[in-house]
Amino acid sequence: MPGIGLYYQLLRTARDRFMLQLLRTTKITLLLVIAMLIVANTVNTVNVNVLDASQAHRHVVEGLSIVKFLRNACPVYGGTLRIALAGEPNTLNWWVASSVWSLGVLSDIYDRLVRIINGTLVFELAKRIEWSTDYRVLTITIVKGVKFQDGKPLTAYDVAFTINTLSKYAWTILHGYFTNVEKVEVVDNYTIKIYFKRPDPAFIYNALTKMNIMPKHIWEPIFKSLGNKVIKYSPKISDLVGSGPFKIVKYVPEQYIELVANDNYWLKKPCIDKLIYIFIPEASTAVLALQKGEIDAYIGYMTPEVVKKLKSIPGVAVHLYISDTFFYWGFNDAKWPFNITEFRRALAYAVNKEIIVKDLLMGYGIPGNPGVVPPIGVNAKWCDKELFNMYKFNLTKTAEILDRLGFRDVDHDGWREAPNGKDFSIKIYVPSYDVIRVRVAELLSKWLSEIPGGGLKAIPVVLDWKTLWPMIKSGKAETFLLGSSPDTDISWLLRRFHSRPLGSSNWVRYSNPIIDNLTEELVTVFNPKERKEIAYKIQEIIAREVPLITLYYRKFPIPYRIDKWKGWFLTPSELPVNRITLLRIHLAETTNTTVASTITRSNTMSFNASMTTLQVIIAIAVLIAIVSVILTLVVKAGRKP
Amino acid sequence: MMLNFLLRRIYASIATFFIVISLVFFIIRLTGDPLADLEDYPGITPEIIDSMRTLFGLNKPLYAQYFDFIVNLFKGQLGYSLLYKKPVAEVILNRLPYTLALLIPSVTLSNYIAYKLGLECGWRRRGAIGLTLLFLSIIFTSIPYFCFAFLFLYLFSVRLGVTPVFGAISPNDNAPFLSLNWFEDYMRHYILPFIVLTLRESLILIPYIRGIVVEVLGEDYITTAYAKGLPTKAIKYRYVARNVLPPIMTVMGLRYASLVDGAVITETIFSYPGTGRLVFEAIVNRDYWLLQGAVIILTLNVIIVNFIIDLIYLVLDPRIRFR
Repeated sequence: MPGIGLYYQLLRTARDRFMLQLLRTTKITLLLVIAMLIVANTVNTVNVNVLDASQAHRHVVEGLSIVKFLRNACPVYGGTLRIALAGEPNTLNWWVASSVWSLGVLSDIYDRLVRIINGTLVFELAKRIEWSTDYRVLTITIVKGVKFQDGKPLTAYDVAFTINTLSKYAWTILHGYFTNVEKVEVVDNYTIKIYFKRPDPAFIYNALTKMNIMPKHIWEPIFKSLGNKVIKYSPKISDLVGSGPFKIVKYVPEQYIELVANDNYWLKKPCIDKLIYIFIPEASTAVLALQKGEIDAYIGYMTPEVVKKLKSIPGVAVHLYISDTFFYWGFNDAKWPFNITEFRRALAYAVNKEIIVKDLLMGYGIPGNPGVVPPIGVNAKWCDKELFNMYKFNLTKTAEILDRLGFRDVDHDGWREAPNGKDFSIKIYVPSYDVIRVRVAELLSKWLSEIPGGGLKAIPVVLDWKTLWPMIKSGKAETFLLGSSPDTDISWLLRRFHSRPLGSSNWVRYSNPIIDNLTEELVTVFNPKERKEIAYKIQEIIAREVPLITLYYRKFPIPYRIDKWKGWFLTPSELPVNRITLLRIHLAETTNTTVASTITRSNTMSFNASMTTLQVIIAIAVLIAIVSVILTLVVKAGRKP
Repeated sequence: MMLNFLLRRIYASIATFFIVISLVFFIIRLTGDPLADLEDYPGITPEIIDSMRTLFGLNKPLYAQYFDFIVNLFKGQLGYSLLYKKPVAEVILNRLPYTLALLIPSVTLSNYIAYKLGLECGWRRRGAIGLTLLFLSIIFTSIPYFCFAFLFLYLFSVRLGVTPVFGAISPNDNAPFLSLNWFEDYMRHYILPFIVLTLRESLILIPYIRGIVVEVLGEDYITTAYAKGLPTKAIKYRYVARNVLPPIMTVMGLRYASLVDGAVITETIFSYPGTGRLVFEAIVNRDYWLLQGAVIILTLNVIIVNFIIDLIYLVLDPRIRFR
C-alpha cells in the first residue's frame, strides 16, 4: 500500500516544517494546509498508479473460448443417451473423488473456469485471466449471469469458496495443486484475486483445469457442521447442485445414474433430454447390449480382438482413444548395476518397442518416447518428437556395451557373469493384473537372453499389485514395469525426476543435479517458449541417461452408436463422451421408434457371421431337451407311491 | 442333554465369530495398503495421503486400531468404507436384498431339483435316464460357468430378445417401487440369472448325490428290504431317499452359507447388483472396513447356517440325539 505510507510520510515532514507556523497562524491556514496535503497525496497516488500501469507488461493468459466448439444449433431436441461404464462411481463427493468414473459423472453437473479440450486451454466460466507483473497475483474475471441448477447465481464467492476449501483441507484430492495459494480475495461479484506464496506457473493448467466450481450455499453449511468428516460424507441428490449442463436425478447403486438436461444451461441447452450412465462390469455383456441397441456407447476396456466384431455391428463406430499413461521399464537407479548409465543404455538397445506395440498391443499403441513426455493431448506441445529415433533395437550394441563394462560370459555357460565373475541375473517385477505387461516382461527376458556372446539372465516375477507396490516404493524391486500418468502441466517432470524427496513420485530413484535445476526452473519460469526449451532439455538428458525406458502408450477402442446419434466430438486424446459431445450430440433426424426396432433386428442378423442359424437351432433344441427331461423327471419323482 | 448341546454350539459359534473377524482384521492389514493406488496419481502429494491416513485412523498402532474396531463393533458400527466413502452397513445393505432375493430361491430350488434328479439318476444308474442325466451334468459342469452364463445371455437376450441384457431394473423406468409394473420389470431381469444359476448348481450336485444313492443301494438293509418283498417304490422313497439325506444335508445346507459372496460371476455377467462383487472389490482394493463388514456378515451367515444344519441333523439322525 504505497499510498498510505506516502501519506504518513508527508504528514510527518509537514508536521515538522509547519509546526511553528501552525502554532502561530490562524485556523484557516491550518485548514488550507490540510487541504493542500490531501490534494498532494491524491496526486501522488495517481502518479504511482500511472507508473504501475505503464510498467506493467500485461500477462493475460490466452486460450480459446468454449463457445467456438458450440456454434451449431441443435437440429432436434430430445432423446435419452445411454452410456455404459465399466466401473461405478464409488462416491459422488467431488472433494474426495479420485476414480475416473466418479470424476466423469460429476464433470457433467459442474462447470470449470478453464478446461483442456483437444490439448489446448479453453475458457469456460473464466472470461479473462491475468497475472500481475510479479506473478504473485492472479486476477480472474468470470462470466456474468451463470446460475446454479437450483436458481442461485454463480458468483466469485463460489469460486473463492472452492479454492479456499481445496487449499484448507489437506485430504481433498486436488489439495496438492493449491498449497501455493496464500489467500483469495473477492473483488466484486465477478472478479477474484488469488494471491500466491510463490509464483506458480503450473497453476492454471494443473489446478484450474481440474477444478469444478462448487456452490458455496450448499457446501459451506456441510463443511461447517462436519469439518474434516466431509471425507466420509456421501452427498444426497439434493447436494449435487452445479452449474453444468446436466443434473443428477436418480442414483441406483450398482445399476445406473440418471441425469436430465439443465434447460437453463448458460452456454446452450443440451440437445438431449436425458443422460443415463449404466454400469456394466463385463465388456462382453456390453457388446451384446450394443448389438441389441440397449446402450449407445461403452467406456471400458475392450480387447483389440473384439474390434472387428464391433465394427461389424451396423450403426456402431469405434473411436480410438489414446491414453497418455506411459508404461515403462523402471530401474532402481540407486542400486548396482542400474546406477551405471552405460548399463541402462545397454538395456535400452535390447528393447524392441515396435514389436511390443505390433504383437502384444496388436497395433493399439504408440512406441514410447525415450524422453518420456507423451506425444498425446496437452503434453504433445512439450514433447520432443525427434527423440523417438534413439535406441533402435540393436543387440550387438548391447553386447558391445556389456563387454566394455565387464559383463562377459566367463564360464561359457551361455549367460553373462558380473565383472567379478559371479553369476548374474536381474529380476523384472510385474503386477499380475495386466496381462500385457506380463507378456512384455517375458519378451524382455527373451531379448536379453539373445544378446550375442552370452545372454543376460532376466527373470520376470509376477506379483499382486498391492504386494508389488510397497516393493517399488521402497526400492526393493530392482526393475519393474509400471504405468504412470503425466499431469496437465509439464512441471510433472519435477515430481518424477527431481531427486527425492522433492521428486515425490521418483520411483526410479534417479538423481542428477542438472535435472534437479532444470525441473526446478519449470516451476518458476512463466514464459511458454522458455518452458518448452527447458522441457526439451530435460527430455534430451533423460533420453541420454535412461533413468527408465518408456515402452509404450496405449490406445483403447471405444464403441459408440452413429446410427441413432449425431454430433459426437472426437479427438484422439479424449473419450467420445466429453463436455462438447454432451452439448452437441443429438438424435439422427430420421430415427424414430420403428427405425430403431429394425436396427435391432438387423443387428441380430449380423451376428450370423460368428454363429450360424443351425448352431443356434441346435443349441435351443438341446436346451429344450434338457429342460423337458428335467421337468418330466421332477414331476415323476414328485409322485409318491 | 439337549440344552447342553445347544449351549455348547452357541459358545462355539461366538468363539468362531471372534476368531474369524480378528484373523481377517490382521491378515488384510498384512497384505497391502488401501491408499497405495492413489500414490502414483499425478497431483497427489504425500501430504494428502498422510492426511487421509489420519482421518481413517490408519496411522494408529495396530492394537489401537483393533481395539477401536472391537469397541465399535459392540456399538453396532462397522465403520466407513474407504472406497465408497459411506458407512459400510449402508453399502452392504444397498446390495444385500438383491443377492438374497436371487440366491435363497435359487439355492433352495436347485437343492430340490438336484435331490430329486440325483435320486432318479442313482436309482436308474444303468438306464437311459440315469446315463443321460450323468452325461449332461458332466458336459455342463465342464463348460466354464462364464461361457455357460454367456450362452444363455446371448440366446435369450440377443437372439430371442425376451430378457434385457443387463441390470436388475430398467433405467428410465419410473414405475414406483413394488408396484405391478415394477414387479414385472424386476422379474424380466431376474429370470435369466435365476435360471442359469439354478440349472448350473443343480447339474453340479447331481453326480454327487447319485454317488451316495448308489452307495446306499449297496447297503445290507436294502437287500433285506428286497428280500422282505417290499414294493420297489417303498424301497426307493422310504429306504433310499431317506438314508441319502444325512450325508447330502451338509453339502446342500452349506450352500446357504455362501449366500453373500456366492454369485460373483453371475453378478458380473448379468450386471446384476449384489454383494458378491462388492466383496471381490473390497479385497482387490484392500478396503479394510468394507471387507471387515462383509466378513462379519459372511461369518454370521456361516455360523447361523451351521447351527441350523446341526439342528436338522438332530431331527434327521436319531444317533446324534441319543448319544
